[in-house]
Amino acid sequence: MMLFGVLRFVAYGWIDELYIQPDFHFAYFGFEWIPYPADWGVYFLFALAGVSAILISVGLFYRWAICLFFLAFTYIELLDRANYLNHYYFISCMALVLVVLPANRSFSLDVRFGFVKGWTEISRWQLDGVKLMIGLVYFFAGVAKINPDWLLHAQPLITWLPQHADLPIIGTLLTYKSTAFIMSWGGAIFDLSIPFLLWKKRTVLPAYLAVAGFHIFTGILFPIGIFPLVMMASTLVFFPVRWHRALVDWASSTMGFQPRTEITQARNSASLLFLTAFFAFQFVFPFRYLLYPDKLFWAEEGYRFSWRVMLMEKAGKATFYVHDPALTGHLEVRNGCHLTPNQEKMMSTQPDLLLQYAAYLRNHYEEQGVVNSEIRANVWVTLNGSGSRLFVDPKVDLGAIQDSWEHKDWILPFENEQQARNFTMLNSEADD
Amino acid sequence: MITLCPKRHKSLFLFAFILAIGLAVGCKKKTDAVDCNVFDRQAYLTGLVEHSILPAYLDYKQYTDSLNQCCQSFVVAPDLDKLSECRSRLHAVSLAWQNIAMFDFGPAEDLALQATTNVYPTDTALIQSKISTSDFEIESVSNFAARGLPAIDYLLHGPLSFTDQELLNEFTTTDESPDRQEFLTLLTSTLASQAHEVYDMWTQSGLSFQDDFTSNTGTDLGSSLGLFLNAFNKSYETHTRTQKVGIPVGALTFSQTPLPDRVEAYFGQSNSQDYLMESVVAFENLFLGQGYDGDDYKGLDSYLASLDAQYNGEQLSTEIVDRILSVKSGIAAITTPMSEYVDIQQVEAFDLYANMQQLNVLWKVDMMSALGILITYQDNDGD
Repeated sequence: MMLFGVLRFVAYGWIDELYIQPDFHFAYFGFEWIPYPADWGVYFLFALAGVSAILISVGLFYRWAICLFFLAFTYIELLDRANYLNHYYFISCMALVLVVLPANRSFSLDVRFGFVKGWTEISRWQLDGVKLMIGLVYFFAGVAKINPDWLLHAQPLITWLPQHADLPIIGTLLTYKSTAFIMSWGGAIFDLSIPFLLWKKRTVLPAYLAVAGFHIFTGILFPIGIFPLVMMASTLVFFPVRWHRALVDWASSTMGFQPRTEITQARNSASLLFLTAFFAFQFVFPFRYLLYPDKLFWAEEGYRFSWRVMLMEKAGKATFYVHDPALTGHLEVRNGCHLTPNQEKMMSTQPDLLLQYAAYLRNHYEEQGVVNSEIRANVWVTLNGSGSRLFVDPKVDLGAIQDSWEHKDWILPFENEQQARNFTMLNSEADD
Repeated sequence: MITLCPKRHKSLFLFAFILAIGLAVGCKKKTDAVDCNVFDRQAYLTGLVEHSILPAYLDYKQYTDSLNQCCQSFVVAPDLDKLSECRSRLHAVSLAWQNIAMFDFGPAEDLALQATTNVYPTDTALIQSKISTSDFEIESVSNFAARGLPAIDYLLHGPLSFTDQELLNEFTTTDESPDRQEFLTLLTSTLASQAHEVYDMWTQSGLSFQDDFTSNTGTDLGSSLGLFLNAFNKSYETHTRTQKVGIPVGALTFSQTPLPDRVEAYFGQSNSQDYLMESVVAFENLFLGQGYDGDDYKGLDSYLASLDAQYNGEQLSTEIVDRILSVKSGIAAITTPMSEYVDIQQVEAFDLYANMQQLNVLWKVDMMSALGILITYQDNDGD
């Protein structure tokens, strides 16, 4: 499964585009110390992830492979946060959970070659760990949908759906505003209820069909890559144990592979403790946005790592100006000289990336002999069809601000009709 | 283990179902006519090709032919009348160019039409050395700054200090005159053959990019609309906004010093603001679906209206039209050559630039967001 994901990256030439071409990378806050690998290093990491994914799926050297996969995959993710996607984060989390689980104890080459003893049973908590991780994703995605834009204005679906009006059969349906409302509410109810429905044996089959339908549908409508496949495959874990056993038995007999049945189950309390701590963090971390005063989608303080999937239509354009204190004017920066299109797109709407870019520009121009330059930006952003408006205070020197967990008071408030049309602000800035 | 009783489940589903129906009925009553207005992307692409792209390419092709013919006959027996005739034909080509510059995808992209046709400032020293050394190689990237419209502009108008007679002498009486003549006709014939090539790639059966273009009706990355609108925005942003106004006005320098010699068609002097206006009008026509051949079709404004795209409580398309108007009135107020305008009226020029910037935001951010098309280009031209 993950092998496919890695191959897809290679096939689309994304390694080169996303990780090698850019002159500059948006390191994660708190992870700036991570060294950026050389070009061959990036390919090596991808190869590592691919090979370990193969080993995991055939169950060979499982413990080493899953550790390697987790490290390689997470390392790749940490290289540039302009590439952040929830489902990559999900894969990292899942890999971490799997590190402590004995997923190689049955139907694996490890057992076949006698590296580990085969088990026929595992503790409930071990399976539940996986289930909880998946359930969490849906649940938080559901919680995130409980917001006025989503429920009362059907945004962003109301923007997205009519673009697919040419689809066969359902196309015309998508142009009705009511469709967007039904899908918004349906999506929220689906996400909130599906973990519980999957958990109960009685409802697991209809729930899984709903999952499959939901992901196939969203896969058609939105450019979300392998996410639907990942979720459809991983939710299979909710099916009752005997289903899986029947499947394994069938596969074993087809492949002439006899699973050994030695039952030696030991409780591993260190793993259990680890999982408990991990999930405690997972439950609390997504709620950190409550500590910030601004509208979440606008300022994106506490947005990432919180399972907010396909929740907003946001686009922006950021023009940076570098002011040399020795001169009166300011230079307009050509973003294309420093960033890839994807980086530029992500940077234009995400405040922490704006700061990082400003810091980069400050250094860049310092190397060119402009000392103590001030970096300002005109950033125009539209959120859920609001119409573009100024995103950050164009008078603030972004190069002088350190990123932190604190509230970013230089982000202009979203709800401010006056500022929305404050064209004079831009003009006075451009002229002086 | 707690088992949920099946009845409660049924009632949950029933609740969800009723909610959904209730919403459906409740909203259907409120839906207005706009909702049912499905925009026909296929018809738009067909209109775009038949009424805007192909007629503009055809015109461009014919004007480049006519410029080439004029220059060919000029070098046979150079005189002032023919010189002035060739200049006016260059002007016509340059105007036509503004109407095709934004179709920089497919055939034009394959031929690197933009990079070989309109890169300025032209490298006068390079042109001079090529003529002096009888070096007529112009195909490599390093020679792109010595070809295309700006190079022809230089050859036909000469350095600003030259009188027309002095320029004519360059073509008739110096040792380098034959080479100068050959270089000029090499540039004009290449321009014309490229124009033929790109037109053929669009229209000739077998190559026909046209069919691929009009049948790829999605909104994803490789779709025709995606190709076209990315090229549209990129061209407006880098070639119209930055190149024609931003760089000359000094926006990309620390001290904001105007750079008058960076204007388009610098040596022709009086024409650059016409090209700026023609370019903005060309973008306006594409937005409104006003064909180059005079026939109208449903344009991007109708598309935005069909999606009910809003801008601060107004229709987005209205806001865009208003902004285009104010950009146009800014350009119309330019009464001196562009090179003087950016210098003497720098404040007004910066106002115009800010206005063009704002239109850029409306197209690139608001329109693309409303249409659901991803931005795939970067601004990597020039320095």
